[in-house]
Amino acid sequence: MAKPLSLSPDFLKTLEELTLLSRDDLSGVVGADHRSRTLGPGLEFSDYRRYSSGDDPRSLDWNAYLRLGKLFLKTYRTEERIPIRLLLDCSESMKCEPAKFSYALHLAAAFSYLALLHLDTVAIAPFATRLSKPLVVSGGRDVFWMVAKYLGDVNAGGQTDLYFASKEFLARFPSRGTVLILSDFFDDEATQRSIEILRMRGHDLVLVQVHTPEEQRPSSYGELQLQDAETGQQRTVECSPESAAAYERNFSEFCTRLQRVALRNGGRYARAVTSLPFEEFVLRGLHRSRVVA
Amino acid sequence: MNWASMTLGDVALFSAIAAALAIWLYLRQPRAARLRVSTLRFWESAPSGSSSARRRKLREPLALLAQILFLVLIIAAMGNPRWGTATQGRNVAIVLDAGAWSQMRAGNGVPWVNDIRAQANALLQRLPSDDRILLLRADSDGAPLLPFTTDRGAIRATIAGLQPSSAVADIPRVLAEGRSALNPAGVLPKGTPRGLLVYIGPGLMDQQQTGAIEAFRQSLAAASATAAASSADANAHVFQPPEFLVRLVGNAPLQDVGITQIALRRRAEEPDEWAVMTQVKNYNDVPARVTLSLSVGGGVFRQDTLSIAPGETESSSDEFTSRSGGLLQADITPGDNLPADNRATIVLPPSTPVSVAVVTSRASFATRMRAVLSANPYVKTEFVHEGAAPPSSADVVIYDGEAPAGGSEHATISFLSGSTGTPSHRVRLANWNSGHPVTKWIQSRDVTVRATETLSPSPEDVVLASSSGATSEPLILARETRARRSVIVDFDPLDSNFTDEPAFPLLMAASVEWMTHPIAESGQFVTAGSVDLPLRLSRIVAPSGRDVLFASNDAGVHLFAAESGIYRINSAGQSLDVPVNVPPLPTIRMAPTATEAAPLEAQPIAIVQQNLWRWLVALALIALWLEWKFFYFRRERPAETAAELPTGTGTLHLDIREMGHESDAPHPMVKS
Repeated sequence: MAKPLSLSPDFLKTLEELTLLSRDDLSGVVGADHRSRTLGPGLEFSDYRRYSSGDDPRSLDWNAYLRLGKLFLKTYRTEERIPIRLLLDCSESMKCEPAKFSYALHLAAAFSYLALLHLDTVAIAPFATRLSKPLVVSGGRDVFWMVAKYLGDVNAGGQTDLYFASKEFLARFPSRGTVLILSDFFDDEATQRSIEILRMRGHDLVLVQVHTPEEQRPSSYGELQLQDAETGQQRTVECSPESAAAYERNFSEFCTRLQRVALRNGGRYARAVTSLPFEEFVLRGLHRSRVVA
Repeated sequence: MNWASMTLGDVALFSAIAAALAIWLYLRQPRAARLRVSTLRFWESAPSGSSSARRRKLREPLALLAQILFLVLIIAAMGNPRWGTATQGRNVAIVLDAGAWSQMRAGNGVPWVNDIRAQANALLQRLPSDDRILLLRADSDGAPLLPFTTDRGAIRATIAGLQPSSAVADIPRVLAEGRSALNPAGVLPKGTPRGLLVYIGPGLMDQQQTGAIEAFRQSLAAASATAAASSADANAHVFQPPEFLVRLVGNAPLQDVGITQIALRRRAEEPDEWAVMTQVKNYNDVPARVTLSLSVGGGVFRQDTLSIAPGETESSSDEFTSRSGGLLQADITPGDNLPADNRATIVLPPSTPVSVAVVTSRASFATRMRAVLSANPYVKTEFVHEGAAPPSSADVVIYDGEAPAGGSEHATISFLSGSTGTPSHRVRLANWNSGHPVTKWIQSRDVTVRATETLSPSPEDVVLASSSGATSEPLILARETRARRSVIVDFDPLDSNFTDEPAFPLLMAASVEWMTHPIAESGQFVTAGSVDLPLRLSRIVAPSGRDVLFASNDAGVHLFAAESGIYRINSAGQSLDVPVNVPPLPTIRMAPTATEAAPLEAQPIAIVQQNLWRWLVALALIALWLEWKFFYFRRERPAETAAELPTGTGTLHLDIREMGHESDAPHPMVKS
């Protein structure tokens, strides 16, 4: 059994000051901290409306009746429990850079903690070619140990097929919610299609791209014999300053495309470089990307 | 500064090697590094490695050029090139006479040694900076003050630290030493600059040194003539005598009266009584009148006024009694311009009597011994009857017969007369051992004794005397075991005419002295300069408090005492005081020739060379910076481009359904 993933107590304490942001048109089970457009039982006053037959007489405003002689009903905003779903890329491309996979696991743990902190339901679904058996937990931060244990046991391997994994995800979780995808998104075409079908089902999308500095900017020069970690395909290239610059341009364009795809589908996008300390990315990088507040 | 002493060819060779190495490193195609990457999609535009490997191409030509420039400049800097015409400096030996006369004060109270320092600094100022200078001190036993060097700061510091000594300078010897240092091989290759030998000092010498200086000058003149004669031969190695210059200081008359000698002798008949004779010399050219005071332990016991003619020496004799020894000090007043020789000190050795015990039962033997021993004032005799133990305080015990079988604690003299029945025969006592201190002064052939043949010498025994004839028998032996010494006489002195001969008291006195200690009958007047002391020392401290180096051998130690005053000596755990005085000073002043007194010979105008290595190193650092600029800066540039992510505006290939949210539009979300 692998060692459970752990976050430092100080960092967890800092996370208590953050909130995971989500769209306000999502509906879930009543009883959490999120405000909803839906009116119903709750603590926060919303509006008055005329009493009609069948309404709960406990919501009548008797003071207004004494002043105006008409029956008005007080309405309240419901506080819903929004499901948070984490799609965690566990393919070989994540594994070939150990720092990257570890970074993604820690991010998943941090998101889970934030969700549990606000009494939301968390589902963690690792995927590579297919969707692995997800973990679904709720009930506050007291159950965070289950998340940590689960993430500590997650292994990476296999090729990425985000589209197929997304279809399996939708079949398993039909209700709307916030979906955070933690991946390098190097499967470009599948990523696009996956985002589309997730958006069509009304999910609130957050794309967190995790990559290493080496993936952004090659540091090795000269003749390089490269092997794709997922496909095993090999290629020998001459890495000169010019070709390294071209590599960076390609990577930059890829990131820009990914960001546009996310935004045009109503989602959000954040890019995590593993050279940046994990805590700093959560506290500042995610805040800038409006993933947390 | 000369680092690697490389020629232009060496610099070119090493530069070529370094440049070739740099080019090889730039052209070198290392084996392709294997990398496992997340995706190959971003490498689409990179050129294939196999195609470029076929041709060797300089990837960074400007950086390579900068690196080669850096290497060439560094190698050239190591060669230490100089800008300007090369001139070869000459060797210069400067002899500084800091002898006793350098303490002489001029009319303004400034000692001559200050003038010597000033003259040396003035000479140094006029010498070209390339000249290598050797500083010598004109002491008879002094080492060079500073070896050949061009470091003017070190030379000036050495000159400033020059201290006058109280010894007499040996000018001819030091000049010869300087000449040898300037030209150690005797001949120099043609073209070698002529050396320079300079004497700076008062130039006062004795008669012997004056003759030596004349011989030195003649030698230089002969060498110059030889050099002139052989200068026609271009291939010949020419003897180049150095240019000899003399710079005299202190031309004023010598206004000094000094003590030159103290002679001290113990009276033979009374060990505590001394005769002292003091010599005072007037170095001035006018008559002098001084008061001589003699004191022991601070108590003045004699004052005498001496009138001394110019250049003459006066003596003062006196007798005094001193039981405990100490220091005898002589002072002259009034003071003069050389205070160092106004006082002299000598050690007054204490009288230490020797206790001798005579063990005998014969009255005639005791009578004979009493007659011999009582004549010696340093011996106290005590007679002990045979069978009784001699006093433990006795230094020497004389046995009328054999010494006790168990050995004696004392030094012994045994007269073996043999028992009554012992066969004996008369022999002539001869063959005295002149190499032993006991019989060194004894020569007698008229002594006839009755030998008992009871003496059986061991290999360690020394035969002091033996019988004459073909079969020589040892009759007197000296034996030394551990720290105890003994003399064994193999005959009865009463049964011979030995006691009537002068050899008998001489034998007894020399035996007692050999077994105990020598009787000091005179004091030693020690003067500054080379000093030999018959002592085993562990440390010598000069009057100024500095430790004095000394050479030690079996006979004692040798040291050079530069200062006058009381030297403290640690010898065998005891501290002794040895006074060192100013010796008689020479008075003949050196007369420099016109050539020697001439100003410094002009040197060809030397263009000051400038070391270029600093400039070369600076240029090399610039080249290194350029290499960094060309090579690494180009690699850093893509990183700056990447920092602009993710604002790139590449063509969007994806079929995206517009969802109504543009990137600039605020995201619809709520905060709980």
